[in-house]
Amino acid sequence: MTVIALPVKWLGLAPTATDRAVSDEAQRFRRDRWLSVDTGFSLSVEEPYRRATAAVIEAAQEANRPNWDGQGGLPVTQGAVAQAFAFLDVLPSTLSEPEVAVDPDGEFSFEWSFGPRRALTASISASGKISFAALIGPARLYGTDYLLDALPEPLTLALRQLHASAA
Amino acid sequence: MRFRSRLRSLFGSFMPQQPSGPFALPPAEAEPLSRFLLSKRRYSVERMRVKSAAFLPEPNSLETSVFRTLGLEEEEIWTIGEHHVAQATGHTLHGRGQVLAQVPRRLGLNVRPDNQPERHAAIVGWPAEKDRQQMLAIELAEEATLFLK
Repeated sequence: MTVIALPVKWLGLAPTATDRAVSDEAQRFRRDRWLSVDTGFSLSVEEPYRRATAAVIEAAQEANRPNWDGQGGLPVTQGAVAQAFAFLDVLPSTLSEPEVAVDPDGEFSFEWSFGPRRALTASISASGKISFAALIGPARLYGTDYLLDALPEPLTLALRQLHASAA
Repeated sequence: MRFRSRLRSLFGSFMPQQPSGPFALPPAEAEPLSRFLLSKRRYSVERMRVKSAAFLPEPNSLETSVFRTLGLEEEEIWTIGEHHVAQATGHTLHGRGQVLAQVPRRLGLNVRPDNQPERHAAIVGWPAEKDRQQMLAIELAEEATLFLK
């Protein structure tokens, strides 16, 4: 298998599950939007998004080769990077910033922790499949869904529940 | 008899080795297991916790590699991590997540000793479904203690 480290800016230009437009205008808009990550965000609302985006890029660069974690980890693919950005796009801005990691199977994972037995992890595959698991006190919740134009309902509910309990 | 002995000496290296030595037996319930961490993204310094991704199984074998650290001083544990995990794969050792053997067992997983290298074992019995793996991994992470190098 040949693995190429992608230039950082290029990673953001890939279309995502929630951004399927292919026209020249769409490509231009996508590029402009991506370039605006460096300059155009409101600090209060968009800063967590900006940091999470940067974390995805860093994680992608670290996990760009087979066995990147020394424990048999599969490398991330361009599709997985695109889906990770799409996942961040649909996260409500009221949520706290997730911790970003790459799973051994090459999927990006986003994790929130709010204290003992209050945590949620969601992983997204290159095909847009979201797998998640949450500990909400004594309750355990897990499931699989697909990322379309919004965060899957069970995941949204679990995240809201965790945030409410932390408030 | 002599024939069998010759066969074993000729083909022994090709046959699966049975674990041997003091760590060939399954660990006791309260025995600590260390998962060495070679990526900064597998733990959080701010929250001093191991992330669930650190315990997810290796995708092909569906096993999570751990070392049994019973009776070892802190320095000796790091030496194992450096020698058998980090240097062996050309990575930097950042830390380790420690859980007791009873934790994976309580979750329906098992700890299979192979003692190759010495003290090595694997958390096995993982389901194939990713969401169920995550559920178990998040429980393991919840019970794990993070040690930083």
